Amino acid sequence: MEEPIVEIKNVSFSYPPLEVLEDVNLTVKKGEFLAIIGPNGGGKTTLLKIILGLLKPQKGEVYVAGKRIGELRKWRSKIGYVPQAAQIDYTFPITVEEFVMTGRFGLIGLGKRPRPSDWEMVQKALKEVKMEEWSKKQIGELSGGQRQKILIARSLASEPEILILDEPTTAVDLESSESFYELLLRLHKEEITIITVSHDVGVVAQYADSIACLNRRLIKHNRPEEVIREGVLEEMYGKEAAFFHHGVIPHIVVQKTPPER
Amino acid sequence: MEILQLAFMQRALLIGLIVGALGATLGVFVVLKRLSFMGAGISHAAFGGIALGYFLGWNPILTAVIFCVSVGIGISMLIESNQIKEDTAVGVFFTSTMALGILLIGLKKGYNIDLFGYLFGNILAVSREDLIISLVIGVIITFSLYFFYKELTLSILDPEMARVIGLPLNFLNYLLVSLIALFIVISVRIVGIILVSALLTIPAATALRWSKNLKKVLAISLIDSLGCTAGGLTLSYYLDTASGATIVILTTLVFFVSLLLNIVNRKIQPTA
Ligand SMILES: Nc1ncnc2c1ncn2[C@@H]1O[C@H](COP(=O)(O)OP(=O)(O)OP(=O)(O)O)[C@@H](O)[C@H]1O
Ligand SMILES: [Mg+2]
Repeated sequence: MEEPIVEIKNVSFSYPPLEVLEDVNLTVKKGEFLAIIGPNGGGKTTLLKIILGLLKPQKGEVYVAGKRIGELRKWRSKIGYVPQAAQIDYTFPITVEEFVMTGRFGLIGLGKRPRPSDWEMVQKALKEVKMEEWSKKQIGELSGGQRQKILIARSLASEPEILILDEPTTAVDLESSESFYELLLRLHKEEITIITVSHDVGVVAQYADSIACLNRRLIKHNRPEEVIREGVLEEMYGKEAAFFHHGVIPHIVVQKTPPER
Repeated sequence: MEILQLAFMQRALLIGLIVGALGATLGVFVVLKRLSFMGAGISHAAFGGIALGYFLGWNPILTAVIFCVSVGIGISMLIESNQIKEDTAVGVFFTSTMALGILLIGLKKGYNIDLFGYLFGNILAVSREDLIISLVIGVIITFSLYFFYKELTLSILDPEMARVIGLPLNFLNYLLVSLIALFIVISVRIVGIILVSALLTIPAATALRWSKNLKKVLAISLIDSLGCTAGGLTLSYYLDTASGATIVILTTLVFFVSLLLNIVNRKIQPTA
């Protein structure tokens, strides 16, 4: 549990001239359940994309499983990802189960075909989100929430060691959302590292080991109780400017007012 | 059938079926990736390639292969660099490569080039050599599509996820464009430069309206295309019409009839 699996070191990223992330340092330990919260435009999605190697930071380094993301080969397929705004062509002639199978393409390898054991994993992933009855439907025939569920299933299909989830429960109904977090807890017990972005602080506070507050800078990364107790949320969301002291918890970053954007 | 006893007709039919089959399968990926216009662009570049071949005294078909692949990859690189939008890039290349062709042919005065044949197809001109080139290129295209089936699918369906799992996205894009270029060059004899992209677009577009299963789409497209190529060639022989145009008209006819039936059925949502 102590070994770091994702290390973000001095990362800065901008869409010139807009600075989106400024000197972010964050270490996620193997098996940690981390929730990233922060206001819209705070850079959460950007940070996840940097971890995944989809965006290159102008400054700083990112290590996943001890390596730079570009140097990861097969290990890449152990990362499950649920994007916030998937750019999927939903008119594509592909069924739900075939879609979920694409999550295993990295494992199966170039030029090879899925085997029966791969299909079993796909069915298992679909069961996790209670979508197994929709296996043979074309992906365009699903509702918004159901589409979200098959994205989740796809991220599970690769038997990931790290799950990177960008607001995975948006559009998902309350019951499914709850059972999804229960599922995350179960995966968490299996030592799977989970990094999820969420706006629902109340919910993630119940489940996560730690919360990272991101608004261009990483304002705080700590246990949920601490984050809530110290009023970081108020600060970040600008309800009131709170002031924190150095030294209470070693890696608190003090910020007097919310950074202006 | 008497027409099958004519050697040139046998060759034409054989090359026609090869071309029809390849266009049908490759076309499904082209239409899904919204590359139809790119196909039309590369086919016009083939004219530049063929003219260049004549100008340099090289085999025009092989020169066109190299030329078209380079142009296709060039366009893709321009698009990737985010400097130019896709339709603009294609628009620029397809006119300039044609202009180059016209220029080169003009410079090579007195040389008797079957221009009309390259532009609109000339099955009488199909040689043994053409047939062999077509077979070789056909094998390359079929093998590539088969081998990278899964990767091409994901790269079209969800490029971001393809990158997340580490698929060589650029390579796959270049591959597809190169396959299009190869296909175009071997189809020139049958339908000609101007009409080539019909083979790459229409059967696939027809098939995509009838199934939501990629393998079935490929099968329908294949049957449609093979039927129309064989039918069009036969018709053109008896009606004494241009073979390429006859094939394309027949393919289009099937497309519209199928569209009509499809609208009547209204069960399947359109894809292309
Ligand atoms: N492609 C882009 N080009 C330019 N600016 C961008 C681009 N994508 C994001 N941004 C900007 O970067 C900033 C951070 O965006 P990001 O998507 O990381 O925010 P977020 O924290 O995920 O927000 P949300 O809660 O709304 O999802 C925003 O101000 C946004 O305007
Ligand atoms: Mg976001």
